[in-house]
Amino acid sequence: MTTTNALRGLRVLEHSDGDGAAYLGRIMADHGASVTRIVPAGSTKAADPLAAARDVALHHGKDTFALDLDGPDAESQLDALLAAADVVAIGGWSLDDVHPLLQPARLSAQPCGFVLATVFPYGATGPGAHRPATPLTLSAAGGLMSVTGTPDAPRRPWGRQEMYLAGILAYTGAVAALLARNRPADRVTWVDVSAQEAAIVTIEAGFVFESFLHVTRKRAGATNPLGYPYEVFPCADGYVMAAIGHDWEYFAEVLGEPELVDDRFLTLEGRLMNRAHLDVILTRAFARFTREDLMAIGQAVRCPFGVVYSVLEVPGLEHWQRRGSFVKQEDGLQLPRSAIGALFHAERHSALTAEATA
Amino acid sequence: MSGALEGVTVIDLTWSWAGGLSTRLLADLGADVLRIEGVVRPDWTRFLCYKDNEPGNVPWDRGGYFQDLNHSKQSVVLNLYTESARELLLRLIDQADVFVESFAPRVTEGWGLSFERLHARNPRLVMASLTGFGQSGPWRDYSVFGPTMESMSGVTSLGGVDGAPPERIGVFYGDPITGCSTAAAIVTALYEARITGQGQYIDVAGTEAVMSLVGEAYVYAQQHGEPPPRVAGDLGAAFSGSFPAVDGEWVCLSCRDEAQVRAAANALGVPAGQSPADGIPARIRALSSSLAVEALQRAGIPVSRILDTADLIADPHLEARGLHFRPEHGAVGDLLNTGSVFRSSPSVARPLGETRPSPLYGEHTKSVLQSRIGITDTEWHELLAEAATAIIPSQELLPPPAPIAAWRIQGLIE
Repeated sequence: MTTTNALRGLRVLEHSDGDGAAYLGRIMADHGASVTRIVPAGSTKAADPLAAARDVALHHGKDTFALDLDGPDAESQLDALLAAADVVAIGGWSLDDVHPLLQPARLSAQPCGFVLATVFPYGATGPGAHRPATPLTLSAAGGLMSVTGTPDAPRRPWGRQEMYLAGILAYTGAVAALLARNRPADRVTWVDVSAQEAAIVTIEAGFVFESFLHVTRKRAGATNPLGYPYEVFPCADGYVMAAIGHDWEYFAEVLGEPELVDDRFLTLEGRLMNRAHLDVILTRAFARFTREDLMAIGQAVRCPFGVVYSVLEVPGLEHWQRRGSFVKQEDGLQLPRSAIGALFHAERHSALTAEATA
Repeated sequence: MSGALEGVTVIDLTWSWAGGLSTRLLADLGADVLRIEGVVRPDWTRFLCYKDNEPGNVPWDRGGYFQDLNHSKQSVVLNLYTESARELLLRLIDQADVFVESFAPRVTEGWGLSFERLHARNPRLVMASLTGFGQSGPWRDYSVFGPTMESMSGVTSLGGVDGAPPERIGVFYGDPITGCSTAAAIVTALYEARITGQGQYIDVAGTEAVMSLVGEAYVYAQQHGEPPPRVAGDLGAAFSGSFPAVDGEWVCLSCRDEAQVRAAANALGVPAGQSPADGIPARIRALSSSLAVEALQRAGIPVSRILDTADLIADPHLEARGLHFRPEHGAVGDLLNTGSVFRSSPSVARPLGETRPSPLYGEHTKSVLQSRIGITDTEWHELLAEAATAIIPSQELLPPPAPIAAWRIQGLIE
């Protein structure tokens, strides 16, 4: 599923029992690099259905090389692979679980000019680097659970998103390292990314609150402390993400709810102070509309309303179909393109513009 | 040594969080980022989170969001509603490697900044446009913000637990994901341009970037005809969850198999005969969170307290890795910023010692125009006279301080 061939000719070696380095490899493969996964000899396909789905999403387009890391020839075989690589991506959920031959410290000392990209929950350096993690504990350590869910029921983002985000950042650092004019030819250039720090990138606004306003953001359920409403509401046939900013009065008019045009609600502060009252009005009003209607009403007045779509629906939506956001595989499965979207070459841009205009 | 992208010039005409983050990541990697700022509508993040919630006499230099997203960049003020400023911008882009913008699809074309035109003038230019839904398709002109991208991608529908309504992630999640993905796309295009000599156009749809983080959910849904399960803990773990400790903090742990469950129970002192499923939460409720975490860590169990921003700022591991730094900023002093996420080899990321605080409004306008375009002092004064640039932004639309009192009354902040 090559999206472009921007990285054609690049040879990537990947070993990961986590997901960040595997995601890095996925992006590389999507853009034309030749990616080889080192897998333990005798490893089998995942039996768990979600793990099997993850394997499909992460590993298509890659080659595999089965290596008995404890075998007598392992070191020489591995070093031969390393010598031919441009990028080596290593990751996992625990730095200590990585085989000694693939430990970052060993790889970084190789007399080779490859870029080493490492992705671990707490990075490969620092006093806490050796702590093991799972998706749940990573979400706790990265701060997202401090602001997601309710005070009595912390939640985390579904899946392994922090690890994948770390993979995107490690990819960025690795490609930047390949671009570096002063990169040594006989020494490894090492890019280390911590999934905890990747998660922190998503809550940086909270750091600003802390540093500039001396306040700590807390879990607030579906609500958003910055404004009202910026949250999920039920409607006639599902849920919408409702967002109304400066166009409150206009939105109220289009929605047909004159009760909303009240002096108490016209400022952000007023809406925040009257949140409970407004919840009742909006919930009642939204129940009259379908989610698609509400999105159309909101968007008509430049309010960034959206439908809460299920993952079952998303691949078939016209907008994504028209953009080619999902690519159909030979087995019929539609996979989303990797994180960096579509890279349109100059000669293709006019076609894009024509399509957009049409 | 200033990082892998030393010598790469980025013209940054972005707006708000996603765009600001994308170019900050490039600056962290050593690129020279010129932040083009407007006069009539300066970036609203300059006015979000004033230090101590006090706008002061120069509110545009006291906004925390802007400072966090723009360190190591240079601020160049150009009023693009004037022809002179648009011409200056074109001349800067002519010399640049990357041009990034995050306006609605037709705005940049209205300013004469179409890719066709820029590419004809500078064939190696990489141009990236950030929007929520991309430059094509029926939703291309829709308004968007972070949570919209989350909901439209399907990610919100995966939030929460089975049987309950969908729950959004507690931040404007789509923005940072878009910012990180954009930086990744730009370095990819730079890599190809290094080989071919040709730049390219990057159409970043933030919602697609968010979609890419849950690829297995789409695969599972197509394979099984229903969305994947939503759980509060770790799917497939023998035992996992979030449990309150006696100090009110939450402890999250995850045991992959029965051996780890027994090890966790032993580490916490669960009495013999009590099931781990009952005993582990009960023991955590009786302990301080730090004691529980230490005991479980010693037993090799994946565990963490739920860390909030105050915890993370004080975290010794993050301190040792150099994530946070406190640049001396001209308007607000040495307040904390989030530094580079790229570590290890000194040739990759801009060293912290070379990381500069975010720029004051228009701090570099004159020096950049003089050094890169060669304008004279006389021309500089002419530009000021015709309002093609400015020393301070228009003050007609300055927003008020944040409604902190309202947030506090609702218990949303401490």
